[in-house]
Amino acid sequence: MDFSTSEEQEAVRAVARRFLNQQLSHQGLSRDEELRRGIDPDVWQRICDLGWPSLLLPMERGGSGGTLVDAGLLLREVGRTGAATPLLQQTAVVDVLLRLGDSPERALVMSGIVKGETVALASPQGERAMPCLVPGRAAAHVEGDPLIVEWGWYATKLVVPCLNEVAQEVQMVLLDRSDDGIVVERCEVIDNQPVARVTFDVTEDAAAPVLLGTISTDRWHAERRRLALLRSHELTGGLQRMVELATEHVGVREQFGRPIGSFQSVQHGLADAAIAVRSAEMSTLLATWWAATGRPSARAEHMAIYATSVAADRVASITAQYMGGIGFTVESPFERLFRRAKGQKLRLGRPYEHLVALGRLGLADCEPSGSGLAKRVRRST
Amino acid sequence: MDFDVMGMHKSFLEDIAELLDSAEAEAAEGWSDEGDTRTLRNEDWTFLRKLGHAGWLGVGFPPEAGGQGRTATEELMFLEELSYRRLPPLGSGIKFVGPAIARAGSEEQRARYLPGLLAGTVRFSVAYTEPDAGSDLAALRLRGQRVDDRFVLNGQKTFCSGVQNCTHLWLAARTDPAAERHEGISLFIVPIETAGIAVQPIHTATEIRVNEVFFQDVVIPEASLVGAENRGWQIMMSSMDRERLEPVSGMARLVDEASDWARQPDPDGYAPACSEHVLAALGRLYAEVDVARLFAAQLAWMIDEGKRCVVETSMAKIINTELRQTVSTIILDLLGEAGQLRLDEIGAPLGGRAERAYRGSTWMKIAGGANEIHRDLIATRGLGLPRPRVIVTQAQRSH
Repeated sequence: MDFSTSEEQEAVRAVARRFLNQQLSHQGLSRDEELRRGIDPDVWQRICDLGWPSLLLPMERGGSGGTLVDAGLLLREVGRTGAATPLLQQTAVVDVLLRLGDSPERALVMSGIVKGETVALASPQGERAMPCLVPGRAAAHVEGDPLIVEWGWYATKLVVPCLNEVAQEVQMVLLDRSDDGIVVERCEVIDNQPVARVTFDVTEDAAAPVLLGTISTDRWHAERRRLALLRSHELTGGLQRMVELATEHVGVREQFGRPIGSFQSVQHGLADAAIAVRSAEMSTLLATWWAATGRPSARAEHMAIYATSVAADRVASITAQYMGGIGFTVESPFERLFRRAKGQKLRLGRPYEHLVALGRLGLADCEPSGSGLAKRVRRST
Repeated sequence: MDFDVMGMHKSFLEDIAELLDSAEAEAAEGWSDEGDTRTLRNEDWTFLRKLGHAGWLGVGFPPEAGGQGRTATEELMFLEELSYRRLPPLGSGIKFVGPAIARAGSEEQRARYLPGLLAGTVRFSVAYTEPDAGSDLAALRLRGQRVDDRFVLNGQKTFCSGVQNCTHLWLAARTDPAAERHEGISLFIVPIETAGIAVQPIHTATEIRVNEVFFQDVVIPEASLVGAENRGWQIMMSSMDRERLEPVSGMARLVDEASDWARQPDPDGYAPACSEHVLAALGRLYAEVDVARLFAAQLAWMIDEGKRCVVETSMAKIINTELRQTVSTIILDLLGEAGQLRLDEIGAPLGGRAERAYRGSTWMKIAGGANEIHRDLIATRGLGLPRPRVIVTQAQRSH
């Protein structure tokens, strides 16, 4: 295996880190959260000016022609800051639309993203939570239980997957945030992520939703996993930073006449946290590379999402302990990362479900006893 | 970046398959994943010599030392395949004694030991640990006293694996008791048949056999000394990286067998894998094995790239050894009551191999530097935390 990142990826990483450090301060992020806006719109506009949301778009369409791996590495940097930005959502929307192929409607959404428009992607957990598209007298409308949608309040447009249970298909529908047929309310959540409840109000004569494309339910699950994979990168960045903050703290905090970081119990805990972060980093990178290169990646994706979920709780619990009282206060940037780690983990879906899926895939994948890698290669030739 | 192992190393893997799909290999199967701890049978020697004859014992050795000069990544893949097929361990001679001789040995030592090592006729057992020198290896006391152009060895080693299979000991002895702890240690190559050496087996919770080795006035020539006198510690420490290239395939094989078990329906047609809980447990097993594989692969890649890998070495060691306990525990818990049936007992699921793996699962966490030592290294060398205070006792000071 070759774990190396390219010179270009390293350069982008360095520039991104510097830029984010300049633009985002602890006080600024606290104010953003107080105002329930996720991120200062001016900062977000500057991020858009750098072209980050359209990273995946080909150059001829105003993007940078980046890969899913490039996007993941960039999201890690964003994750380190603890800021809530729409970058993950915008990247995922571009990814979904690009994979649907060319159409004027999709092109319009993507050009909006290039300009800095926020488009929210609803990603309901499980098929039962999905709305459906119902034909009406004048036009079809979306019907279903309320959905929890990240960035739903600030978005100008919403991409909503609607289930056609009979055909086992998912219709990707574009709604205007200002449509009469939908009601958007802000939700209070565990972290600084702006989350909204979107209710479909069928009594109103809604504007006709735009159908962006139709995919199989399996394909929709794959799209959700790609979103989760990108989120895993962002989450991993946050976990990295939590270990750094805790390490810095125990290096200077003295008790019993010496830094608490010289106590073995503290050292071993942080060593375990570092191992957990490395597990998340490597498995997300592996899965993203498999997905980005068009190889079968479902198994690696479930593994990565599960490993990141486990790492999130482990790192949060260990580092919060060693940050001591200070890490519990809002004065410390750690506190925000701590809440965000849980929020992002929860938005990855239930770890148990990823394990069951992994079990199913692995069982189908694994050969009867007695065949290592070399035998597989032989059989495949 | 490239994670497609099969694509990257296709022809190398084909070569391995060609080598191992043989009657000699099949006859030598049946080893578990716990290193050089059982007595080699005739068929094992035959297989190892076949490997030697075909040039595979020196897979990671530099060509000038008679090896294939393969990368650490390729060496790891070879070890993975041996381990998956439950073939005999190559022994610590191949893993790090040979490379240490190639690097630090005299010309005469290289000529004398390396060809035999690579042919499978010379086999080393590492004798470092002593009753009072385990994780704190620099506390070792076995005395190597210089008398003119010879050394006289007196003392005891313990927990030595593979002594029953070895032709030579790779021995660390204290040659200057007055020097600092790390300074007065020398390394020797000692034929196991030398007069004054007595071997006593230590039986363990599993079929693993380790050994106590007693030295009473064992006289060895000066030519047995490897490298400079009193400079053994440096050689010992510099040969640790490749030692940590530990395959995870022994556990992967066990997980594959657990998958087979889960697929088998009972007389009513109900297979364990019909239950979501079993699927989740299998999912966890796949995830644990795959993550451990990544740690091993990353370490190998870093060695190949010439990167500093103290932290990754320790991480891979911890992950690999804790995997054994996790995997065997999850599988036994899946098997439930039937899991208690021992290796080869009639009706034991997985042939009792999960039961055996569980009994042996703590051993590797202790051997090769206890995992606590590796956590110390990650914290101090990786995260940059201050070294913990070490309390040196009066007894240690007096050495």
